[in-house]
Amino acid sequence: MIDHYLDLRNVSKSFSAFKLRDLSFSLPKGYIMGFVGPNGAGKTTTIQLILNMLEKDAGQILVFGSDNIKSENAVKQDIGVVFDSVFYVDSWTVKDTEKAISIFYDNWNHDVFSEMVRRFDLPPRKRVGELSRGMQMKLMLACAFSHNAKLLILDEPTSGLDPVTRSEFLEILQEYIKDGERSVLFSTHITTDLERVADYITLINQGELIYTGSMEDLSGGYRLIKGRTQDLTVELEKNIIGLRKTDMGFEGLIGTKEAAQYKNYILDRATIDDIMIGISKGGKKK
Amino acid sequence: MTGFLRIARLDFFTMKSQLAAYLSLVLIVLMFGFMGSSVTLLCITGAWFVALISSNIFAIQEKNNLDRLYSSVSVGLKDIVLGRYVSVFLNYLISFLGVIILYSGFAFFQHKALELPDILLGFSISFLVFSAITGIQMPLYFKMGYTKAKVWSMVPFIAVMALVTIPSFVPVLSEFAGYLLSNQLVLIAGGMVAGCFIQILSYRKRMKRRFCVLAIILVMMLSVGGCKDTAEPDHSDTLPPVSAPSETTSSPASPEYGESALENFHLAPATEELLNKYDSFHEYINDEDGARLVIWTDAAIKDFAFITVNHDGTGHGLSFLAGDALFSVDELSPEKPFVVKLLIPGSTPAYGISFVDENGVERCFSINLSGRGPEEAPPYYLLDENGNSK
Repeated sequence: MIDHYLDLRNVSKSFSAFKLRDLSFSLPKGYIMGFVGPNGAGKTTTIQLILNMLEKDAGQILVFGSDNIKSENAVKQDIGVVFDSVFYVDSWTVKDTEKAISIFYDNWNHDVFSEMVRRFDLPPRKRVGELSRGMQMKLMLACAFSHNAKLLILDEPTSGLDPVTRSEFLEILQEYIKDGERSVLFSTHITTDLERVADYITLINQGELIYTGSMEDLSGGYRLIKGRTQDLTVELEKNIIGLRKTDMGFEGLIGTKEAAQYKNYILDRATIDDIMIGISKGGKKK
Repeated sequence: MTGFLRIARLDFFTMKSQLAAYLSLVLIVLMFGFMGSSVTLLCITGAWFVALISSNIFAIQEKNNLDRLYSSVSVGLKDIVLGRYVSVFLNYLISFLGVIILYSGFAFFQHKALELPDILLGFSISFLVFSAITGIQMPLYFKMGYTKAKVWSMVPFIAVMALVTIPSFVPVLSEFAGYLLSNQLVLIAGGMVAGCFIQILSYRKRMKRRFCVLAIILVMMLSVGGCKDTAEPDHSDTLPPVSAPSETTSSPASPEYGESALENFHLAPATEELLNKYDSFHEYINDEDGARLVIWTDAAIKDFAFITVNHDGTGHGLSFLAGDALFSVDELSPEKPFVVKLLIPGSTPAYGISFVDENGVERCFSINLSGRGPEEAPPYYLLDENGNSK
């Protein structure tokens, strides 16, 4: 019985201008994990390492408990991938896309694909290049669902989508994991999406792991502290992560434990965005 | 289904949109067919065309981010590369079969014979040309991507085109081409082996500069050999069998004694110095204004005749038929040569000699003008049924 569909252990990869260092996190079965970080943090590199598009320098990546390289063909039968842009030939129609993609999957289900096409209102005879971005995303999802992927890897799928389509997209994801047998790794920098659907969050910055754990622990671990400039003491300044000063006052992230000492200040619930901004400006969580 | 076959299938599916381009290959074959080109030349044209079209799959791959698709499906990198090689080769194979089918149609309506050796020769040479071009191109595309490799990928095309002309200026290469022409089996086997060798090396990405040069030279040599059998009739042409008057052009004499018969004969301008060696000679004046040539033998030749030579363009390339005897003797001995005064109108032979060889078979050689200066090569030469010259 596999508890974790994805398990990264001390994974490293170096480029001339960027280094991914000792990245470790696990995605439990039946949950959605938000994989967040600012642009250039290493999210896409990590996904490329998981998919064996890049060769890692060190560490181990287990997918469904098997090594992602040694069992590449087997594990990819159960992985669905959605990137930020469509990777099907633009002259293919929706029907052609099914014919082309089904070549690669032993358990491709035509009925599921037809059902998804109907549900997503995808015009079967329309070419991929003529579909809107939202429709293209849905087509990629339809393909992923049609081979009964247990693990869905999404790399910035919602960037560029309008709010209505994004909302619809998130609903589809929630429905997808409903049976508890499927998981989603959702890489994005639009963190408001994650607040709706993610159970776990892995936050990276400049190639380093900042946080991995439950969404509740992350949002419960920080508060957003605000106050007037003259109220900012030296001690408080030391405790604030990612301090931002303006003429009007200051703002920053503070650990929930430390926040207890500053009840006279304005303390708000920190969003993932606040945490990400604070951490990327001021360093990582201790 | 194994991974590389899945990729090959996907490639075929992806190239569906390029089908219209293949119609131009049909048009090219039709045009060349009407012009009377040989099947070898058509096959090479087809291979050239497929090599050119094959790069489109890399363009589609780059334009549509298919790298991402490949990385998401259950195939490894080796499968992707091997699958691409397989699909491109199958592309060539289908085009080759298409060319053969089209040519068969031409051959049927023009009452030409399309024989297995012609098809094998066409396959061998075209496969080599195809292998050399795609064998160099594909590692470049895989390594650099379509846009970056686009310029470099034209190098094998240009190099092959440029190098095909070199043997005309380099006697050693010309001789080697001549050797290949007279040994079709070597040409067929060599082409196939070399083509496979290039494909395997290319797949393994051992594309060293030295290898590229070797591949291009090999292609040049073999394609020169392959093309020359349909080119204009000059000294180095592969001329199909010359037949005796009673025979058809497709029934050549046995090759085992062909060369030895030619070896017995000598042809040179009839200089005083040469004629002074003999007490007497046979003489026939065909044209008072023509060149005076002497033909002598090392062994006695029976039923020797000076004849006209007719041309036959209905078979494979241009061939000859023995025409009328203008002069004949029962025996041409080494002591008494034959002197003839004749005018050779151009590079196409009009006269020849016939005789009965030691096996009792009637043979025929044409008298040809080399067109080269006396310091380069003998101005006249004899050409036998197998394309051997002296």
